[in-house]
Amino acid sequence: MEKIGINLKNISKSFIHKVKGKVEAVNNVNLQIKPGELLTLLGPSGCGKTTTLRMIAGFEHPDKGSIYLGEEDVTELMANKRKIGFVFQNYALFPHLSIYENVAYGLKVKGVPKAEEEKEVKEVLELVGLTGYESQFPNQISGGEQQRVALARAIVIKPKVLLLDEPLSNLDAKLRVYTRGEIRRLQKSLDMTSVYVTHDQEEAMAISDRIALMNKGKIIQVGTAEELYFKPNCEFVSKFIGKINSLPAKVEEIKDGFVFLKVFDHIYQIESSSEHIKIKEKLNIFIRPEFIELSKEAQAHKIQGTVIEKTFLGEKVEFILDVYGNQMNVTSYDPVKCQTFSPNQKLGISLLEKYIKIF
Amino acid sequence: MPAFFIKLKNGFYKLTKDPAVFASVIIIWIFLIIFILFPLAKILILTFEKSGHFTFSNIAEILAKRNHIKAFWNSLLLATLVGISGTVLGFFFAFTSVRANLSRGWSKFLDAAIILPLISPPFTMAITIIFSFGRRGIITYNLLGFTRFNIYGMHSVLFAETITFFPIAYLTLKAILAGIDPTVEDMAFSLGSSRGRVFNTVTLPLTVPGLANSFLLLFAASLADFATPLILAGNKFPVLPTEAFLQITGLFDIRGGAVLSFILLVPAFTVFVLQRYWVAQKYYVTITGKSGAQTEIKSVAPWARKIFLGICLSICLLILYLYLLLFYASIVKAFGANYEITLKHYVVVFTEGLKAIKDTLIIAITGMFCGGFYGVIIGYLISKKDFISRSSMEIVSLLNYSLPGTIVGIAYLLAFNNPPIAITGTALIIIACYVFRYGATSIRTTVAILQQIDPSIEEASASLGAKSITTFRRITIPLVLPALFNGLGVVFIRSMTAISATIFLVSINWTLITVRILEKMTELELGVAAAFSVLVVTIVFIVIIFINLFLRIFRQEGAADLSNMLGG
Repeated sequence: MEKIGINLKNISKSFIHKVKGKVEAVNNVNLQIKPGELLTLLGPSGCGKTTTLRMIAGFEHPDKGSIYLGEEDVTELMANKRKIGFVFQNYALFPHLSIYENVAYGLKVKGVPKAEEEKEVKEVLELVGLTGYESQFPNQISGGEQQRVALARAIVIKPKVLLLDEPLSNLDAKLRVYTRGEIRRLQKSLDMTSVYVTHDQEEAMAISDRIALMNKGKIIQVGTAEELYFKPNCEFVSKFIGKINSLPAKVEEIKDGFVFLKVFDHIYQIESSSEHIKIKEKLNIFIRPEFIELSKEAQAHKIQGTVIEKTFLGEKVEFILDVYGNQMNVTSYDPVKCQTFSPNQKLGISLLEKYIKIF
Repeated sequence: MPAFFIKLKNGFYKLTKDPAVFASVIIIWIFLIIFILFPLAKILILTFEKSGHFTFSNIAEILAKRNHIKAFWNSLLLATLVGISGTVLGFFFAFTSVRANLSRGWSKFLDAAIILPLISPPFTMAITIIFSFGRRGIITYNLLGFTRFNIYGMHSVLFAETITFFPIAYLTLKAILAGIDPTVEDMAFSLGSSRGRVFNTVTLPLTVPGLANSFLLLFAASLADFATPLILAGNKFPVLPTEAFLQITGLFDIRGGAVLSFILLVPAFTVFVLQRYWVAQKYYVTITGKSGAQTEIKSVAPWARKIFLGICLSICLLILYLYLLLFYASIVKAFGANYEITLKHYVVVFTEGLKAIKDTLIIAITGMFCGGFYGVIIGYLISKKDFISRSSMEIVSLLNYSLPGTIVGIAYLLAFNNPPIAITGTALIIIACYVFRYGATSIRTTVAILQQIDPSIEEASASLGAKSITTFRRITIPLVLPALFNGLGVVFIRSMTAISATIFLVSINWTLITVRILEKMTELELGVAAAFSVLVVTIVFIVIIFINLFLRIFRQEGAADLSNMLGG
C-alpha cells in the first residue's frame, strides 16, 4: 500500500464557549507527518490536540489553513471521503450491531463483495486476537476487547492514515501498557501513517516515532522522545516531559558561547548561544532530578542540602531536599548507596554540569 | 471575527455541505410556518386588528365583561391550586416509589394504576366523579343519602384535575428522585444526620428544580384543560378555555373567542418561557447512567414505609374504583335510577357511533405515522445537526404542544377556513392539528434518546466512509427506533383522547369519539358516554400492550431503553 504523509498548513480553529466566549482551540498550527511514522500529539487537556486530530479526520472544519493527505488538499472534503481510520476514546462501537457487523460496517459501505468482506473481517479479527467474538455485541465484551474491536473496525478498511484519540484512557494501567505495545506493533507491521493523541507523556514516549508537544492551541516542540527530553526548547517542554528542578542562579560571565553561572556559590559553565542573557542577570537554571548526585559527606566544595523526604521505590529512590531554603527533587538509581541516607541528614549535592539548562 | 459570525459561517458551511440536511430543513420550515406560525399569527391579527388598524379595543371590549375577568382569575387560581396539590401528591408517590424500597411488584402496580388517568380521555375523571359524587351518585346519594349535594364548582374541578394530572408530576419527580445517587444520602447519614435531616438538607433541595418544573407542567395542564371544567365547573365558575369555546359555539363570535384565547396565551406562554429558560438551568441531577457503589436506600424508616405505601394504595384504589364505576355505568340501564344490566349502550356505540369510531381510528392512525416520523426527523435534526435556525426550529416545533389546545383549535379554525388553504371540514385539518401538536412528544423522546447516544458513534460511521444518509439509515434509525415507537404510541393515544383543540375542527364529515362523548354528556345519555369512554380506554390499553410487545420482540441488542410509554 502506498504510504502518504500528512501536512497541516497554518490551521486555526476557534469555538464559542458558553462562558468564556470565543476560545482559540488551535492557533496557526503547522505540522508535517512523514509517511509511515507514528506521531503523537501530546499536551495538557484543552491544548487543542484532539481538535487538531478531529480536523485531520474531517469532523471539524478549520477556520483557517489547509490540510493535505499526501499531495491532496482535503480541507473541504467530508470525513467520509478522506479514507482515514479513526479510533475513538470511548470506542464508539455501534451498540446495535454485533462485533462482526461493527467491523464489516466500513466494508459494507464501500460495497465490498460478501465473500471478500467475510475474509477480511476474519483476518483483522485474528490480527487483534478476537477470533470467535463475531456474534457477540459490544455490551457483552470487556473494555479491552471493545478497544480492539474499535481498532479492527478502523484498520479493516485499509485507511491511508490511522488516527487515534486517547484510545487507551478507558483501560486499566496494566492493560494500557500491554495494548500500547500491541498498537505499536500493528502500526509498524501495517506501515500505516498514524497520529496518536494522548495527555500521558510516558505513553507518548513509549509509542511514538516523534512527538508534537502542544500547549494553548500551539505546537511548542516537535521531535523524538529523546530530543524532547534532552533538548527541550522551553521551560514548558522541560516540565511536561519528565520532571525538572528550577534553581536560582546569577550570570557571572559570558565568553565564547559559554555562560558562567553562580548556583549556590558554585560556578557552572553552560553552553549557550542565547543573546538575551546579560551579565549580572538573575535567572533560573533547570536540571532534572536524575542528573543530580548525592554524597554522604557534606564537603565544602559541594552544595549542601538537608533531606526532607525519602521515598523508596525499589529500583530508584526519590528525595526531596532543602537547599538553602529551596526545594530540590533528586532521583537516584543506586538504591544500595541510598540506604544510608535518611531524613534530616545533611548531604553533599553535585549537579551534572552538561545537563543544566537555561531558557 | 465576532463569535456570532463564526457561528453563522459554520452553520452555512455545514448546511451547504450536506444537501440532504439542507433540503429537510427547508421543507420542515415550510410546514412549521404553515401549520404553527401562520395559525398563531391569525389569532394575533384578529386580536389586535380592527378595520385595518392596530388596536387594543378588542381586548378592552372582551375584558369589559365581568364574566371574562372572572374567568381569567379563576383560570389562574385553579391552575395554581392544581399545580400545588398535584405536585405534592406526585412527589409523595414518587418518593414512596423510588425511595421507600418498594418491591418491584408494588412499584409496577403504582405505575399501572397511576397511568390510567393519563391515557384516558380528559373528561373521564369528570364523568366518574359525577357517577360517584353527583346528585344521584353512588357515594353521595346511595351511600350517604345526600339529596342536595352540589357537585358543580371549583372543588370538583380541582379534585378531578389533581387526580388526572398528578401522574405527570409523578413521572417527572420519579426520574429526578431516581437520579439522586443514594451514596450522597449515605454521606449525609455518615456525617450524623437523621433521616428527617437528610431529607430536608439533601433529598428535598436536590428535587426543588423538579418540583418547580412539575408545578409549571401541572399549571399549564390545568390552564389548558377544557373538558373537565366544561362538565364539572357549573355556571358559577367560568374559566378561559370554556369561555372561549362558548363564545364561538354559543355566540358565534369568532373574534371574541380569538381574543379570549389570546388572553389565555399570556399565562401559558409565560409558563413555557419559565420552564425553558429558568427551570431547565436549575437541574442539579444529571442522569449519567454511571452508577456508583450499590447501596441500600435508607431514606424511609420501615414503619413509615408501610404508612406511605398505605396512602398511595388508597389513592390507587380510589382511581380504580372510579374506573370500575365508569364500566358499571356503561352496562346498566340508567345510572342513578335503574341498575338493570344491559348492553344497549354498547349497541348505540357500535351502530350510531360507528362512524365516529371509524373516523377517530383513521385520523389517529394516520396522525400516528405522520406525527411519529415528523418527530423523529425534527428531533434528529435539532439534536444532531448544526444549522442556522436550529434553536428557533426547536422552539417553534414545540409551540403547539406547549399552548392550550383551545388556542391551537381556534387558531386552526381561523387559519384554514379560507383559501389559500381551506381545509376546514376535512380529516386533514384534524390530522394536521394532531401531527403538529402531539408530534412534539416524539421530538422530545427522540432528542432525549439521541442525547444518550455518543456523537462519536456517528463520526465513527463517517470515518468508515459512510455518507450522512447511510449513517442515518444504518446507525441512527435503529438506535432511535424505541423513540419512534414511543412517539407513534403517544401520538396515537393523544389522538384518541384529545378534545380541546379538535372540538373546533370536527364537522359532519369527520367527527371524533371524544366529541361524541361530550355530546352524549350534554344530552344526559350518560350510559352511552360511559360506554364510549370504556371503549377508548380499552383501545388505548390494547395499543400500549401491542406496542410494548412489538418493542420487546424487535428491540435490537443494545438499543436504548424504553422506560416509559408516556413522556409526560
